[in-house]
Amino acid sequence: MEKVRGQAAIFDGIMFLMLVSFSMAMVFTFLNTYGVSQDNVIRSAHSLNYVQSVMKSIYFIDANTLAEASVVEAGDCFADCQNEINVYGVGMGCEELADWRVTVGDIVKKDLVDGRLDDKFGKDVGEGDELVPAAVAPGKTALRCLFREVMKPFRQAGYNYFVEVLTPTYISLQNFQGEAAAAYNVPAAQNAYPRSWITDSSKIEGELGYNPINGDLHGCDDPRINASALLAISTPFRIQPPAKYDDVYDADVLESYAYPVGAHSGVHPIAAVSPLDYQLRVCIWPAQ
Amino acid sequence: MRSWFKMRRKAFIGPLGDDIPSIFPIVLGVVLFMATITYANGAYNARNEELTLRKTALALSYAVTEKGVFSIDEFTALCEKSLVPYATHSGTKFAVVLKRHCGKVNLFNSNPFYSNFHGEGADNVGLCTNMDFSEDVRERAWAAVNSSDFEAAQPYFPSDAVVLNYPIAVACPEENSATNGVGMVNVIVWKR
Repeated sequence: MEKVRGQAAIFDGIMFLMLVSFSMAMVFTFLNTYGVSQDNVIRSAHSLNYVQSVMKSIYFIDANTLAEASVVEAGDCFADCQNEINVYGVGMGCEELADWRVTVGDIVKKDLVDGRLDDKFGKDVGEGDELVPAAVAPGKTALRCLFREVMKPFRQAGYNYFVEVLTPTYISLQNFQGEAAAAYNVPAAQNAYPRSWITDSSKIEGELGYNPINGDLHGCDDPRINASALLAISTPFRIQPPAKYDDVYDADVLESYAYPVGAHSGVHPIAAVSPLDYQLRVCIWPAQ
Repeated sequence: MRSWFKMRRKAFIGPLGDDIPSIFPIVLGVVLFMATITYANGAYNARNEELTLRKTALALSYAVTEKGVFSIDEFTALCEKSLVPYATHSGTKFAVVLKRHCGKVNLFNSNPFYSNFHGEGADNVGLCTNMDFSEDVRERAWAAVNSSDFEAAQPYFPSDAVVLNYPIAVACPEENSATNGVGMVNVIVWKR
């Protein structure tokens, strides 16, 4: 019996060491997880506050002050200015804003009156020599130039962003079920957004990106975006469409907005002259 | 002598000596445990301080970005009534800088404390801060902080600062223009 006394004491010591090791593991686990949730909340709150500030700036910043936004300067980029040119291209056309002494929000509303964000108020009439071009309303350009400037801190911090105008018939891709499900498929979405970091919806063109009956496909819903870290904010953007007898009235576009998604002929349409509830949506996500 | 051999044969070291081997793992365990607790306490405090700084920075930025547009008079009033009392009460140093960029936002190589707003007879009026410097460098430090020179101001920039930037509309192209252009608000918060 006496032969194992020393071994019993060592066993006690080792047990104590194991207890200490377990306690240390607990402490380090606590340290690793402590503050992580708060950190995430603060980070998310900052992003949210930033994007809200960006949204406010649309209503306060005058378009004419953005006339120089196309120019690439040393202050735009930390080291590689070539990347800036790759993203935005050489000519964004911001210089055409020089005479627009109204806010960016006002120009975007004017551009959207005809139902399209296409830098035009109305559409071209006639053909050939008799072509009468639509009036200029550079809402899309103003939005692009503004976002190029105001999103610089986030871009330099390694985030991508996407800005888009959601039409009144918009439904989230997550809600594409039943009749509307046919409108969404991954190849169509990928074709619609060849450059996900573009600042606005300039790449959303043609049938793939624009489907007035079943709802639109949009950049923030692009399946290539890392959705687990995506932050999207929408703001109401109500616009009064023109009267039906107005030259700017485009029945093809505006009347499609009057029908709710999936509506059949028996459903009464919303009056096309009622204000249309567009939304401006901005989403940001960490670059891959 | 005979009894010593007898005891040794039975592996008996003594009433205390029998427990001597266990002392080493016990002492090691106590030392490790105390070191862990000390380290954990330091890390916990550092984490709390960092979170406090970030929360203070966020609270200040909420106050600054509330309206989305600023004149220099509104900014000065907000500074005196809200920003300085709040940051001082939370035990932090801070600087909120309202910058006019107008055409292009220049993020790099500019003094983060320098606002290009010039009041009547005063320079850098877009800087709101409760920072202070020791008496021997005070004059030199304020001169550097209030200049547009990035290199000169760099030594006075705190290394542990939390920096947040927000876009805001400010009068452009001149300080008294009727039109608004792009501005930025830098919210910088650091420990005393």
